[in-house]
Amino acid sequence: MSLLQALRYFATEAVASMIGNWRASLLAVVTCALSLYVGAFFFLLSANLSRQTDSWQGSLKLSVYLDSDAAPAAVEHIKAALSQPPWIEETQSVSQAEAQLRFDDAFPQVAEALGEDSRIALPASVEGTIVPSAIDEAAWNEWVLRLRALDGVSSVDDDRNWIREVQRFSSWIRGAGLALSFALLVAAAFTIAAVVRLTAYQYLDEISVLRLVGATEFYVRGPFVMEGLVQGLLGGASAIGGLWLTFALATAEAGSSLWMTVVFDRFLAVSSQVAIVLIGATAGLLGSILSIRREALVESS
Amino acid sequence: MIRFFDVVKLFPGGQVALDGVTLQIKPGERVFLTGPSGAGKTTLLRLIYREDTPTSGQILVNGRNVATMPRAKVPYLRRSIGVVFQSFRLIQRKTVLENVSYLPKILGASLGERTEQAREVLGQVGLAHRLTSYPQELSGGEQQRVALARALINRPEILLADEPTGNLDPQLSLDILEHLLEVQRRGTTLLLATHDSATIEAVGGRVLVLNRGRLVEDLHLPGRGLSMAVEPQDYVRPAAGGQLQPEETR
Ligand SMILES: Nc1ncnc2c1ncn2[C@@H]1O[C@H](COP(=O)(O)OP(=O)(O)OP(=O)(O)O)[C@@H](O)[C@H]1O
Ligand SMILES: [Mg+2]
Repeated sequence: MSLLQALRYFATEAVASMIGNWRASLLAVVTCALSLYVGAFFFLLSANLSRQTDSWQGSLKLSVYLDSDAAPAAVEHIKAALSQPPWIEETQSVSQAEAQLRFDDAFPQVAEALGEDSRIALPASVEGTIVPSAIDEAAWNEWVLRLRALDGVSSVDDDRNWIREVQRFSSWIRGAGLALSFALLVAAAFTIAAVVRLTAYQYLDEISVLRLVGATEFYVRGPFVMEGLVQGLLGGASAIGGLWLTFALATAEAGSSLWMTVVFDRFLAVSSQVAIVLIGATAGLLGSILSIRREALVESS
Repeated sequence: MIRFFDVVKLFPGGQVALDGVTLQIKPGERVFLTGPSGAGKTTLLRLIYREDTPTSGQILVNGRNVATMPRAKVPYLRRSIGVVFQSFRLIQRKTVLENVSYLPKILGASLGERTEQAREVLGQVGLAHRLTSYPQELSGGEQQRVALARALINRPEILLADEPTGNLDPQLSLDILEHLLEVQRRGTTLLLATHDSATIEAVGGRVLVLNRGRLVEDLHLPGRGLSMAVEPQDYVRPAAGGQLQPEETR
């Protein structure tokens, strides 16, 4: 039998046994799918988050908020100090009115809720676009301290600080997702192992007949290994399917929520989808190989 | 060629299944293996096809040392040995064709070739027309003939039969026996374990008698003709030093 024929034979046997044992097989597929879904879900969130933070990198600003009573000369001085170092590209003054417009634009619901009367007065500012590649951290920190001390400066806000927060959050999500997914995947591999072993026990007398007529272990165990592999593949595919469904629902519901539109910006790349299915397949393969070591498949009589 | 050199088989718990058996069976020979229940007949057969290994001693089968053979080689040994059991051991969810032609299948024979081969061996046992039946659709005698066809599919040099007629009534037993003898006449070594002394006496041939794991007799009996085998007879004589019981009725 050629390898291809053997694989086809294994697949036929595996499918027949999965149909015959559909409850247990379903359980194996579902646990596998669940674990991969969790991992893939977290991965999707963090992938979108990092893409977003990357795109923000080009438009990072350093905002210098002004005291409400800052003198025009002091403002000019601040502007000059801001545009001086090489890591600031261009500077711009933002008046109180402009700040208000920007806020209403970014958070229309908040603005509406607050109403005209109870508005908080937003401070005017001078802002400069950061060129991240030009930054020398030590000099930057010193420079920011000096800016803070200037006359008329109320506070200095570095966009990079909250970008860092987002990045930290994103990698935390990724780590938590990986850990959780790994634990669940181990559980899934064990479930697949148990299900495959259960099947193998049911076929124990058939197995002994196959060995009797001279089948090598490759042919004796191949169908069972294939069964684990197929369960893992199905689990991976179901996880992707489920995630896609979640994604479709989430994007439909996202509406004006900034977070939702960010984390459900794009679906996983095809390569990531393939990787997830392959992880499922590997878990199934390992589970089944472990569960049907030769010693496990010997009749007790 | 099968040779045993001082073969001992102990089971955990101290049960002595074979106790220093030395014997030689030539290619094409017809050998009956008999003795009371628990004498070690099944154990002896199992050692030949390496279902079990001896505690001590050497076993040569077709020039290969079965006792020390690595596990990975066992399948190739078994392809040259056909085995038939009292309990047929067919795969119930597979058709007669699939049962019989599993080995050709994994050896790479096409469906056409397999069907051809299966038809031929099933023809030898008169069942060529039942290719697509399932075992449970066949009578006991027919199932045993399918099992025999499966044993013969790879043209084995040795055919082992462990009480092949134990589950069958006398007439069907006779039928299976005829088929086994026919295989032997065509040149296959036949080693048949049985309690049925009437059969042995009727067929005649070499008879090995085991008792409590010891080979207590090795003799040649002239046959009396098969038709009389249906008559229940007690053949097994008490051997020197042995306490052989008349055949047990089941
Ligand atoms: N797996 C085993 N574990 C322990 N003892 C065993 C095992 N198999 C066989 N024996 C013992 O070895 C001895 C020989 O058994 P064996 O099955 O070879 O006898 P037998 O001649 O085939 O008997 P029968 O005619 O009843 O089939 C018996 O005493 C039996 O109890
Ligand atoms: Mg026996």
